[in-house]
Amino acid sequence: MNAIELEVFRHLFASIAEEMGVVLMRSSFSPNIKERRDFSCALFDADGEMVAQAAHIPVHLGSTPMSVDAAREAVPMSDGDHVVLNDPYAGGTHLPDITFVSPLCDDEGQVLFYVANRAHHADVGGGTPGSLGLSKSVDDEGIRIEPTLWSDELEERIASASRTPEERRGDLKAQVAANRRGIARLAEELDRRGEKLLEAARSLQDHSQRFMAATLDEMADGSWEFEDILEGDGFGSGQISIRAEVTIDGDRATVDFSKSADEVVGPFNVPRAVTLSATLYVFRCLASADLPTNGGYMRCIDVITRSGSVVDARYPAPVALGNVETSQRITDVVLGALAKALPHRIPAASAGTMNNLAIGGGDTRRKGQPFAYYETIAGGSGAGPDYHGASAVHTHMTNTLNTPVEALEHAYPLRIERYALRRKSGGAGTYRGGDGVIRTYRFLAPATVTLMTERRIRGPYGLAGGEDGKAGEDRLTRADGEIVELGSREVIDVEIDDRLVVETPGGGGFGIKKSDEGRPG
Amino acid sequence: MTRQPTRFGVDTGGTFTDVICRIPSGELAVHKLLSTPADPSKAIGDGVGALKSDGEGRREVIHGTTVATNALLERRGAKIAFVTTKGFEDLLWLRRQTRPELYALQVEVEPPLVEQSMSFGVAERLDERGGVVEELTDRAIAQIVDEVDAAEPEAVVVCLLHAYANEAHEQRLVDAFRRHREDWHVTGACEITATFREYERASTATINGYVGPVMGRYLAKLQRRLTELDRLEVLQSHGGRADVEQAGRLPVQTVLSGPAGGVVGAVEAAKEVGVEQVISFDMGGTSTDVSLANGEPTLTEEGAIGSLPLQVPVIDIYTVGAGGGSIAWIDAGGALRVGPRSAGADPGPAAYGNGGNLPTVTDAHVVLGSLRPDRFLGGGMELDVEAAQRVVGELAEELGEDMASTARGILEVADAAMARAIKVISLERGHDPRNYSLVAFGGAGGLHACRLAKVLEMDRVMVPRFPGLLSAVGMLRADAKRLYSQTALQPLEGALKGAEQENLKSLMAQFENRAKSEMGGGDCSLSWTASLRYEGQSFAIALEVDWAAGVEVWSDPTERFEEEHQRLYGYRAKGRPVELVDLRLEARRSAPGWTAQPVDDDEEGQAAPAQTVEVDLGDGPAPTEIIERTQLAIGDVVDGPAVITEYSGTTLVLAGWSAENQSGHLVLRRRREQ
Repeated sequence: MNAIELEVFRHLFASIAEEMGVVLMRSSFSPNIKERRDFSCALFDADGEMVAQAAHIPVHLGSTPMSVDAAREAVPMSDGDHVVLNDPYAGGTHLPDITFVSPLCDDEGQVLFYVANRAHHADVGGGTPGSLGLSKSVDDEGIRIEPTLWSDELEERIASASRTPEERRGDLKAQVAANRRGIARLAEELDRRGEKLLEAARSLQDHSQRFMAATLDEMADGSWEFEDILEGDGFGSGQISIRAEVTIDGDRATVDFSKSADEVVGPFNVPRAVTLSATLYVFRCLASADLPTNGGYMRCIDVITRSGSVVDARYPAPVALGNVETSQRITDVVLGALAKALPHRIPAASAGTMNNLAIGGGDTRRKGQPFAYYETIAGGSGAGPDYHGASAVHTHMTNTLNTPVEALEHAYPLRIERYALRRKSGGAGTYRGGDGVIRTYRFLAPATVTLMTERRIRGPYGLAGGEDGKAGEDRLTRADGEIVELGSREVIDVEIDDRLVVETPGGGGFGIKKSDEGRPG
Repeated sequence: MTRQPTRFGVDTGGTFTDVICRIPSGELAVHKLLSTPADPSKAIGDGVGALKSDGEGRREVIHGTTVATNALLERRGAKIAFVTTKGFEDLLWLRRQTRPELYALQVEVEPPLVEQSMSFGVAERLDERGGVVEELTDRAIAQIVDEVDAAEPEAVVVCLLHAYANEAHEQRLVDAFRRHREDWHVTGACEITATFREYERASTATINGYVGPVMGRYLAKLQRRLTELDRLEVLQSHGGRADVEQAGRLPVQTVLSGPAGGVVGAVEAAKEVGVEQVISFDMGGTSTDVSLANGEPTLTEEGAIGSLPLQVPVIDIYTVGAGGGSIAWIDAGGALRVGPRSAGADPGPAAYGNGGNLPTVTDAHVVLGSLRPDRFLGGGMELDVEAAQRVVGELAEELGEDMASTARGILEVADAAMARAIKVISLERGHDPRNYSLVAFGGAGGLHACRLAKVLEMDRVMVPRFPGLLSAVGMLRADAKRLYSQTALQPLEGALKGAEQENLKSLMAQFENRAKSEMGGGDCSLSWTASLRYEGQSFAIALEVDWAAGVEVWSDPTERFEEEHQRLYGYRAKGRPVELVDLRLEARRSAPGWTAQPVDDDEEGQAAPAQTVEVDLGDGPAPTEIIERTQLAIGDVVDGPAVITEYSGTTLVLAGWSAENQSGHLVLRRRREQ
């Protein structure tokens, strides 16, 4: 396939993935999908290799292909089928992320393409509202679906497991609609272009591979190591070490996580899919913005994990928070190692946590109707060799929108009393880290609050002499004035007029702060 | 009978100011002159003065302005004080927490239009139903007025939480600021749009305050250049005209004025040949604007200036970074890419002979012969064929292809990017482009329209008369229009009867009265639109309704809503309650009638004779007729392959297509298979 056709087909596949995303976003029901856009859509070839992904959520980058693999292996599919899964040990990441995989077949029933979309559902059951609580087994984290054919019974099973069944039904319908749209568009293009469409998918992947190979080839060969920590598993594990050794050898990269800690009791483990996603994200950032996002470039990068470690967990290790928190730390360590190879390109650490907050209970304004709300709060981004960090921004593995205060107060018995930049929380340096965020919630109905965060002990690292960003801080002020300082792993019951204050970390600084430099001599 | 005024449509562009004039008898005259960026009103005054009006009659000037847009893009707006509910002073800096580029090591976000020290909180709070949680005291008002005064702003923007549900607090503050200093440009966010989502509403209000003083000074100056008898109007981003007073007070409505004129012009031109379903295609030097219309332009309230949200109705125009000047290059994986980098006007494509040495879309056309070197700008500018061949040849060598297939490839890749843009506004919004006509204008529109129609399987293309000043034409054709919106979140079922309906009726009566008075009374038509969604969704679907303050029984739009939901998203959630989100009122007065008339046209220079030469329109060189558009009489038909040239553009008619001059417009159709 020539240079011209490559580009023509790249546009064609990308626009199908994007159209799927529009259908999903505009017709779904939970704020996670419609307002925060915590979803992604992609196309795959018959072998399950990604052909195009709409630019949505990085953490789904390397993990969606594993969903397609798992679906293909478990269930023979024909036209009109949808396979649904969320099992972290069979193609999933954590239980709230539900993935739909659907095939497009030829006349003989041979699969030609798959489309897939993954969306974060606000509640899939488990011990706490929002399904992101502290548990010791994945089986306690909510409904677990191994790859299964979509049916009304399955919809019913998922809905009835959730605290908010109606919302689930609506979201699941939207996910089916998105895949149908993708399949319909692919079928039209197949009619128009026949075999050429299949050839184009392969050629685009080869192109992306050449692109990444050229990027890696420009880097000096070598091996660099970096270690950072998670603050604990919520069950007394102490600090959890995440280590990466990055090796560049010609036009290939190897990232070895073998020295990372063993699995932990609490839900900070991740299946290998998440580790893969985080690593691929970093290399995607290293390449120029023009790199087409498909499976091809992923071939240049080997990720080594040790089964049974915190970054390659085995059933039944719990994983609810790994997807959102551990994934950020994996990003930090890969970047940290690369900073040694490319000191003039890699920025200091960003907030490094999604500051997950889930709130659930009964809405007293609506006859006690149950509600489950989940949001992530932004922080500061890391400063770089010639730029300041940005404030109040989602970094690395997520890019979800906030829920507008006015929309949130309509939907839930909460009042936001303050929403502000957390000034001076970015690390000092020649270039300053970005500032974190302060958000104060007042509860208008009794509720259960799950607050799962990171970077509460030590802030995100600075680089080249820049200071660390300020660590996050959170507290609960009871209605009677009692102040409770909160840790990074909290599940708490709150009463009417209690207030929760969340202060998120700033980004790390870069370079020694000017005023601290040597006197003129 | 009162005498009709002579009407002028004026579009100020970066390089040219276009003027079209219509005297009451229906005759048209056009004039193009260089813009005067330091004081855009100068070119307008000169342009209007250069065209004859019919002596003693009144003049009406409808203006598409880029003053607001440029003030925003160049960050030359007013010093704003931003006033909001205490605790939310950082609203504009928090945005929606997202970063614009997903895969980038450096996170860059666009700073707000307000200095951080100019953001003020005032003690007050409403809940989501408009109930008062914390009263706004006179003392608090006095205090905030003092604080703001000390900061010496030129404009004040007030945006309070949940004010869309109860404007009392916001309005009291706005009044206090207006009373305190008459020379401040004061914006209450809900005066622009009383809809929920605080960041978007605040951003919109801030844009208004930022451009307000600039716009006020500009309009005053422009009015001075015209006489007292002249009535000045401004085209708004939603495609309707507004008077100077409104444009000065709500300049945020005008930031996409120019592009809106083009879409209105395209839609109206299409109606003259009996076509309502239109995809407008405006291809310029660095970018291409596309928009879809069903008799009326499609509006959206999800627009943005850069990354700053703009929550007012604007014509839904999608822009892609591919135009005649877009540069072709080879990426690290060996694929041919076109744009978004552009050679711009300076140095421009290599064929312009101004030192451009990178291959562009224009150069590819020159190489293939589809752009005629001797007929560019009516023969006023000779194109440098050798330079085009040199730069395209260099790219061909790098690719290992021959020059012609490289040139064809550049065009194909540009087409792919533009086709994708058209899919965004059609397929993604639930419309099949095959049911639409592609209406092309702008410098390069006619070069790509037929090609794109082929790619998208569209059967009809139109290149209207005056493709180079269609935006100015649109100014003349636009209706006077005002739009109002109000969040009215509640279950639809309840809204259709009883007390809730009565509440809505009294709300609607207020808006209807305001609209009538702001339209200057008289014969304006009012229509209501309700936006609906399934309870729990975020995105609503807007449907025109027969509701009004004075209408006793309102029809239930549930069935229509579900049909539309099915069409857009492929399913309906039967039995799930439907929610009313916003009510919108449109007040409109039609533009004076329009019949096509002969033209006194200084665009159309000396006609060159028709000739037949070898041109490659995509399938290799073939004998192709080259015709001057002015040579085509009404009803003349040209079979492709053909190249039709005119002063401001070139239209390609591919093999298998034919072009007919219908009422002065070129209509291209796919010929039936023989």
